Amino acid sequence: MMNYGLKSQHSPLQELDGRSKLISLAVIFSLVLIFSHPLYMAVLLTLVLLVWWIARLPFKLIKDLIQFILMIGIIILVVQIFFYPGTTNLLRISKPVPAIGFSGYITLEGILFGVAMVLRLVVIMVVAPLMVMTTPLPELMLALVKLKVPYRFAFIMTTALSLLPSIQNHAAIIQQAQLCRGITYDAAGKFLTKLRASAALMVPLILGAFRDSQTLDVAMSSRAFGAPVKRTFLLESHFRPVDYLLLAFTLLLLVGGIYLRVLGYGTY
Amino acid sequence: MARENIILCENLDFIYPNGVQALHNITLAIEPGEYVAFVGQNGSGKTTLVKHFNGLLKPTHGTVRVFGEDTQEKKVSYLSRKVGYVFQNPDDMLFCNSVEEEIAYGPRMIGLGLEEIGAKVERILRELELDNQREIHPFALSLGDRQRLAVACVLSLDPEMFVFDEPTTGQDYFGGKSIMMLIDQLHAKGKTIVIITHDMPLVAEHARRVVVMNRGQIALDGSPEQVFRQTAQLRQLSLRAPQVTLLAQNLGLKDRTILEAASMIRWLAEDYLPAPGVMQGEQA
Repeated sequence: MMNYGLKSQHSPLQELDGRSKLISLAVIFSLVLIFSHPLYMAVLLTLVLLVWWIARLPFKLIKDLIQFILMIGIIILVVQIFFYPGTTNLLRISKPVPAIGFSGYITLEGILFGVAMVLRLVVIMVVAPLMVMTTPLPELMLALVKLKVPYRFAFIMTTALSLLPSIQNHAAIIQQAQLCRGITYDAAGKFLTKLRASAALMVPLILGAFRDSQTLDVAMSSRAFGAPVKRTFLLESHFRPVDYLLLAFTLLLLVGGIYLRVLGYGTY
Repeated sequence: MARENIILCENLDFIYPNGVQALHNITLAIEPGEYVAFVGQNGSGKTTLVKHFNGLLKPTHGTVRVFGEDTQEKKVSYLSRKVGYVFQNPDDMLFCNSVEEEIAYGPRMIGLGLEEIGAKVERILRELELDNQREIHPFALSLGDRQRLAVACVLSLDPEMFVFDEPTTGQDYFGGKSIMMLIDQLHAKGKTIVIITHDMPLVAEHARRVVVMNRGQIALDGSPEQVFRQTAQLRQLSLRAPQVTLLAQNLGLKDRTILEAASMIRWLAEDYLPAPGVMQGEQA
C-alpha cells in the first residue's frame, strides 16, 4: 500500500507556487481526458515520469501504485478489447452476441483503446502524488483558496489528505490487534477468511474515523471555524519567474493538445 | 532448579522500516508467573519490545523465544494462543455485534467445537461480570466495560501470558481499580503478566518486577523496591518513584517494608475517599 505520509526530498517542485502546480495538474488531467490514443497517452506518461524524476520521488512508489490498480487495469483492458466497436478485425473468437454488444471479433481499435484507457488510469494515478508529495498541506490549501475554491471545500480536501497517514497508521494498529485475536490476514486464496478479516478491520476503522471527525468538528468550532469574517492566512505565496515559465509551458501544452484534437489527432 | 523462561530475548535489535532503531541489544528473560511492569518515557521502546513477545514484530537482529519457540518461524495467530495482548485502546479490538459474539470470535477462528466455545463464553462472561450485557453491542458499553471485554476476547484464547498496554489509561479511578483487580486475579491464577504503564503508584502496588526502558535499552531491571531506590537514576530518566514510596523511604523503611507501608498508607487514604456516587454527585 502506498505511504501517503511520504514527502519528497528537496526538489525544484517544492519551490513552485501551489497555484502553478494545481493549474499544471488540471491541464494534465484535461489532456488525458481529451485524447484516447495510446501514443498520446504514452507521451503524457513520459512527461509525468520526467517530472517525477525531477521531483526526486522514489520510483518504487510507481511500482506500488501500479500494483494497486493492476486488477482494475486488467478489467478495463479486457472489457475494451471485447466490447470496443472497432473496424479492423484481428481475430474471430465467437459468434456475434448483440445482446451484450460483442461483435465476435477482437479488433485493433479495441486493443489500442484498451491500452489507452489503462495508460490514462496510470497517468492519473501517477500525477496526483506529484502534487500531494511536493506541496505542504497549508500551501496546498492557500493555493486552492487563491484559486477561488471555497475555503470550506479547500479545508475538507486538505484535511482528508492530512488524515490519510493517520488512518493508515490506525489501520495497521487495528490489524495487529485483530491478529492477537487469532485472525489471519494472510490466508491466501481463502475468500471468506479474507472477507471476515476485512470486516474486522473496517468496523473499528470506520467508527474511529467517525469519532475523529466528531472531535475535529468540536475542535474546529471552538477555534472559530466558519466565522463570518475574512480570515487571515499566516502563509503568503507569490508567483516567481519559474512559475510563469511553468504556466507558459502548460498553456502551450493545453492549446497544442486542443488544436491537435480539433484537427482530429489523438483519437480514432 | 531453574524454571523454563516463557520469554527469552537475546541480543535483540529492532529497526523500523523508516530506519529508526527502536531497540538496541536487548537481552531479557521472563519466567512463568512473573508480574512485570515496563516503564519509561514515550518512545523509549516499551511497546516495541513487548510486541516481540507474540510475534507482532520480528527481530531485525537477535532472537526472541516464546515458550522455547523462535518467533521468526511462528505466526501471530499461533503465538497469540500462548501470549495474549490487550491493546491500549479496546475499540481497536472490537468489531462484532454483541458481547457474546465478540468473546466467541477468537475460539471460532482457532476451530474449537461449538460446545466448547459455548462453555468458554459462559465462563468468561461470568468471570468478567459481563453476563448481564451479553447481547449488547460492544460499542454501547462504557470504556471500562469495553476494556474488560477486550480482556475477555484475549482470555478466550486461553493464553499463559498476558500483555497489557497501558491498561488504566483513560479510565477513571474506579475503572482503573477494576481492571487492575482483574489483572491481579489472572496473576493469582498463575498467569504471567506484563504491563506497560506510566503510573508509578500502580507499579508499586501491583508489579513484582520493574523494567525501565530508555532509548531502546534496558536501563534498570529489578524488584519495585530495588528500582525505586535508584532515585538519582530515575530522575535522569524523567521518572519518579511514587510519593508514598518516597515517604516510606524518607521514614527510613527498607525494601519490602517500603511497599507494604506504601500500600498501608494508600488503604488508609482510600478509607477517606468518598464513594463513587458521592463523587459523581459532587461533580454534578
